[in-house]
Amino acid sequence: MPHPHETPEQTARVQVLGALRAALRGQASPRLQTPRAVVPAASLWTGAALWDRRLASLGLASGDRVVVALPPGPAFLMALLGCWRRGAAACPLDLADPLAQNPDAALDAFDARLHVAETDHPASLAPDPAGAPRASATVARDAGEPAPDLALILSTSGSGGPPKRVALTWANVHAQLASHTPALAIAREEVVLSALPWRHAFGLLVDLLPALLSGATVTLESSGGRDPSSIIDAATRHGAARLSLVPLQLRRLLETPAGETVLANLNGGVVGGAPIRADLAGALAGARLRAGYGLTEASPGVCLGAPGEWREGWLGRPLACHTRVSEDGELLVRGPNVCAGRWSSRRLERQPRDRWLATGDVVEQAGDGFVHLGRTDHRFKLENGRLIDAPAIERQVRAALPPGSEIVVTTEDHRRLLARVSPGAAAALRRAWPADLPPPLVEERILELTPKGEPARAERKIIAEAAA
Amino acid sequence: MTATMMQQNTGAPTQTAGTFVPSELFRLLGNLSRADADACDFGVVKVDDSGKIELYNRYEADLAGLDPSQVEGRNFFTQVAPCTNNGLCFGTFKKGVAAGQLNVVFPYTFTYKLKPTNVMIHLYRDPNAKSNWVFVAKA
Repeated sequence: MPHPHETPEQTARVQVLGALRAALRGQASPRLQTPRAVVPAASLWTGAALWDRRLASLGLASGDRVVVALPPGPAFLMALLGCWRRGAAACPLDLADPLAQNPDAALDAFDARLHVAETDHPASLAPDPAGAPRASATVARDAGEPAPDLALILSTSGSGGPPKRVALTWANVHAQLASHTPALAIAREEVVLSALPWRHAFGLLVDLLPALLSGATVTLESSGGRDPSSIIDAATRHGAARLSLVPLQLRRLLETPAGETVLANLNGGVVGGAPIRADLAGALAGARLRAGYGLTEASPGVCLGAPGEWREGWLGRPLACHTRVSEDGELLVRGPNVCAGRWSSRRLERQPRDRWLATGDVVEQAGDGFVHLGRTDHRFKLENGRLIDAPAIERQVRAALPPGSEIVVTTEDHRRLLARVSPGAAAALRRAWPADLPPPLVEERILELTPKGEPARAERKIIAEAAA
Repeated sequence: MTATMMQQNTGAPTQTAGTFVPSELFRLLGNLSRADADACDFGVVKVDDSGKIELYNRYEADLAGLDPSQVEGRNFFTQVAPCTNNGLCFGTFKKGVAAGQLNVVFPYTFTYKLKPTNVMIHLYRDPNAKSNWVFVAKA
């Protein structure tokens, strides 16, 4: 029952913390297993309490921001939960991000008061081997305006450009966890293999926290999801029942002899982060994985498919938010999961709460769900005024290419189309090229991939950067 | 002596010789006195087949901030260290007791005196005396 004087954000924070407390405090399960430790929920929650107390002793309060530049593991989780107990927004940072090597720049970027990392800096606080805060002479620095409604500032993967910082409120986090945790139906006795980065919305809010709230055992995959043989080994040894992945991880898993068996043994998991191609959709037939669609700006979940429901580009059905398709075919989202705004130039650029969020994804309605067709920014006009729907051409031609071939249709000068294809696929491309389009300049090459395995976005970015 | 060690980051036991418990202690278990247990520089807890504590040594008592007289007679897994009341700890113990064979070592993070602490746990059943032991060492 909300307190009569609480704001909706305060109520949401109480609900998020209440759910986490109920799941973790004094509990032997869930537990977090890493290569070095097995940490029961009770110790995770005690560690979070110690971070909370340490932040309080340094003068941090609700609305402050804390940069968390730690690898996934008990310390990361305890520090994040400690920030939340204190009411501070956690700002997880990729250790490969140049900001992670420069505490002053990281503190400035988020206008943060504290930097949680294994670094020697006056405003840095490091964890001890068990994950609790280490005793140190840390001094929190001053910062600007508190933002008490913020729980997280997440960096997007940047596959479509430079990383953006997305500000999620307590209501965003609550909406995500309250909708997805029951929908995912993770059983208490299941082992969830965590192979996605926790600093991203997908890994943190769709994979890790719903698993902990469900009482399951979370096992941290040691290669960070990059090595398929390590994923297979961990899934087999732990008897993993759940595994969430991006399509590139899935493709690499299926290229190994044991990958199919591992997938067949799963009870569930979400495949998201990039659209599913036809060949992957076919390979997933019979698996209990499900499609998930979202974006960091939507906390991230927008749609969820049913287990085992696969077709090319399938995104699933809207979950706990409103959706509509614009006249241009772009999917728009509105609801409690839509973010407060962007964090930019050391401040929150707030946007209206009740706005329609433009996803940038072109979709078509398929029953009560959606199928992904492409990106709005992958449509372009040639100088002659002809609108080119590059993803539509790619889909049409790809089916005629040798198996495993990739294709990217773009332009360098807006006068002529450029088609880049995998080695050995040029002849098939020319045969399959739509007759109503001008013949393209064809380049055979090994195509670059984004971290999520999307050649089109990576190649277009390279071309755009070269043009700039 | 061959111990069964839980590989780090796994739930699957594998054969290895690794444990922090000196081999000579295993030979004494049938007649281990309180003084012998108190002389150990790691935690020594003797429990019956249900997990009820029969002996709780000084080292473990100091680590946990508990007096042996407070905990002896209570269940180790459900009452004294309830964060071990899960499949990995209590579940492994119960399976081992039922099978008459228990020799498992694994890393764990206990909360001692309101502070997470990394330890190694060795669950062991003495096949001769049919007594059960929880050994705990700070990692």
